[in-house]
Amino acid sequence: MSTAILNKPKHVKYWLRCLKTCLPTDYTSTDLSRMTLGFFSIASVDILGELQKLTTDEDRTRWIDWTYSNQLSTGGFRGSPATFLYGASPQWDPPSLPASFFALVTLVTLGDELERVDKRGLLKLLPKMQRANGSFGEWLGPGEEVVGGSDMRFIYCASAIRWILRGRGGCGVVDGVLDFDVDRCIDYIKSSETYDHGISEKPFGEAHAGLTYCALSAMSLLGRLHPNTGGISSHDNLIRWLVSRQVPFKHQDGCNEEDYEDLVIESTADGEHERKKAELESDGIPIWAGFNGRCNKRGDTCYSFWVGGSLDVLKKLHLIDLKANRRFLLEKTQHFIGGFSKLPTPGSPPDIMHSFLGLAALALMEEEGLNRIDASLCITMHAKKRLMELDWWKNAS
Amino acid sequence: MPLYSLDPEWEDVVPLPQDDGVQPLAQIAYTEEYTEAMSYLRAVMAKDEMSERVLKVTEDVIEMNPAHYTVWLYRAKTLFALGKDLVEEKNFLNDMALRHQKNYQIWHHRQLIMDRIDDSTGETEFTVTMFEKDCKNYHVWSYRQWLVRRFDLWDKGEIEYIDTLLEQDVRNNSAWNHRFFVVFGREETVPKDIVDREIRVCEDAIFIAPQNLSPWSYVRGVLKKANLPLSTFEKTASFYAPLDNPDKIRSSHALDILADIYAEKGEQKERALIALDFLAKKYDPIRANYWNYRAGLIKASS
Repeated sequence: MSTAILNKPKHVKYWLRCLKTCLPTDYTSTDLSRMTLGFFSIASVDILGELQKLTTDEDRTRWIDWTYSNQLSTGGFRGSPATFLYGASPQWDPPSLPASFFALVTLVTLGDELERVDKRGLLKLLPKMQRANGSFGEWLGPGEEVVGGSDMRFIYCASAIRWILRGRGGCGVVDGVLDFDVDRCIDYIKSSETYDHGISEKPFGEAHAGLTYCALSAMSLLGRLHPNTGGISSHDNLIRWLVSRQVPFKHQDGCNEEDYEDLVIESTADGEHERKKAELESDGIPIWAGFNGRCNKRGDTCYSFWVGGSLDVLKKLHLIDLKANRRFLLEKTQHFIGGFSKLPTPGSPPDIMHSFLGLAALALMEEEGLNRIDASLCITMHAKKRLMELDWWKNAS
Repeated sequence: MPLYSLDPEWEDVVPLPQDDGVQPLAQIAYTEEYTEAMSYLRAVMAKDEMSERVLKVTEDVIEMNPAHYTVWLYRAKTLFALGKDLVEEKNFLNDMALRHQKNYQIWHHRQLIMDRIDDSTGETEFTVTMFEKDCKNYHVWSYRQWLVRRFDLWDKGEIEYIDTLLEQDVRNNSAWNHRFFVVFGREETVPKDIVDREIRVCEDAIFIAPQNLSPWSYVRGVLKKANLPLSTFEKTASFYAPLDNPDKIRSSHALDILADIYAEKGEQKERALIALDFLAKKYDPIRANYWNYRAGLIKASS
């Protein structure tokens, strides 16, 4: 019998613990991305439908204030109070593109109307953070140097910020502020399409589902998704790459990382591979099937969202096996204390990112008891609607 | 245990504590060591100090939090300002990279350092050491591509190394992808004998493991780059998926490519539908919705 049940009370408990107590020391390596972790926590409680019930007005006001306390006088947000230098050396307390995006969606989710956001300042930063090849950096360094890898994540953040602050048409809210070069940005994305038609971080990189999600969502938010608006020329190939990411769960997938690599290398020939077959339903369909992020890797919780979100942006979510994915998440990576772990390895602990993305994937696939989410903005539909109904936003469109 | 506050070298520095506000989000239970090192890092950053002790505190913070984004550039600027031996920095980075596999800032920093050193000695060898730990590490592959371009290493053993990796694991898609980069990434036309070689490499790999998607995708890429029709591969695909002898079908990817080949040839759409039906019903039912969708597109276009 299927034990595929979303243990909602445990997830709620997990997220309230994340919000109301200190995260364990292990999270030190994410110290500079606290704005991101904060968003995951707030958004998860919103997806679970408990934000108004289980947090107080005072809680939400204080989280809003904390978010604003990380806004910089130059516009944009820092990733964490860790870089705050009391006004000295602003070059070492710089605006970060991901932090600026996550701050905006956190504020929207908490019910803030973005009145205190320095919209002009933030929008002015975007063209400064764009490179000549159309890509964006992660943060603006000393001497306005664009710093950080050039990949789809930052293009996504810039595009989402633009959509939130300028509105759908891209021209509103703030007059007279130079827009970034949308055409070049789209060209960069197109040049990063791989030979197997996923999207990579740059030309000739390996196709990656997380980066593909960022690229497609960015194109959607820029109104350039469709071939006749200058987007990727063939959606058919892209869809093939995306649906190919769904992989039946095999027993070896439950191994820890080292044993798994050994098994994969030992079983080079197909015959040996076949012996480790997936378990099937009576109709021949695998019982559990999550998604990998790259060809020939194993299923991992977060890719249910990155692939599901990509397909949803393309209006093709129905082409995957939703049932097998649901069972993969609920029976293989959902943790008994709440949250989701990255891999279907028994006993591996949940973490904030995978717990959010597991929940977001289920919300996308209309899991009962969860609020629907918008695939490209990654916030609940009601949060998005609230933003779109604000006077300044409506006027912008 | 405080390391900085009792150290005479740091006596003149007033540490800058972190202000988390009244009710922060994502508050972390920092260790005392991290809290202290960060306070001293902030203090020297606030003065934009570039000194030996900056190298110490940045190393200390990087050790505890390699994903700290500004600390890396601050360190690089300090190294450059002091005219430090950058080869020594490379040794520090080697050690860090091996212990922090998933970090991407390290590779970005390494790129900055290597650009200055302007000599790639030992670099591909170090990436091999990294690949021995994880032969699909995305950041390291990305860095290796940068190395090849920056130091013109196209013909310095790349293809041979990929052959070795694929011999170990023919499903290593990162190695396949790097192969595509090495063969087609130069701004020049690829001669016919190389195209033929690449098609043969795919055929050999498919023979070992017909159900391995990597070479099937790769060969599509090769054919497209060489402006050859997909049907160039029809014979090979039919060998692994004889539509008239379904018991002998050994690869869903062969069926997929056949469906495309037949759909392209207007008069053989029926055969394309047969291939898609096999996929949906028997050989790849997890994607049944997708294969039926493809069949629907063919039906709609006829």
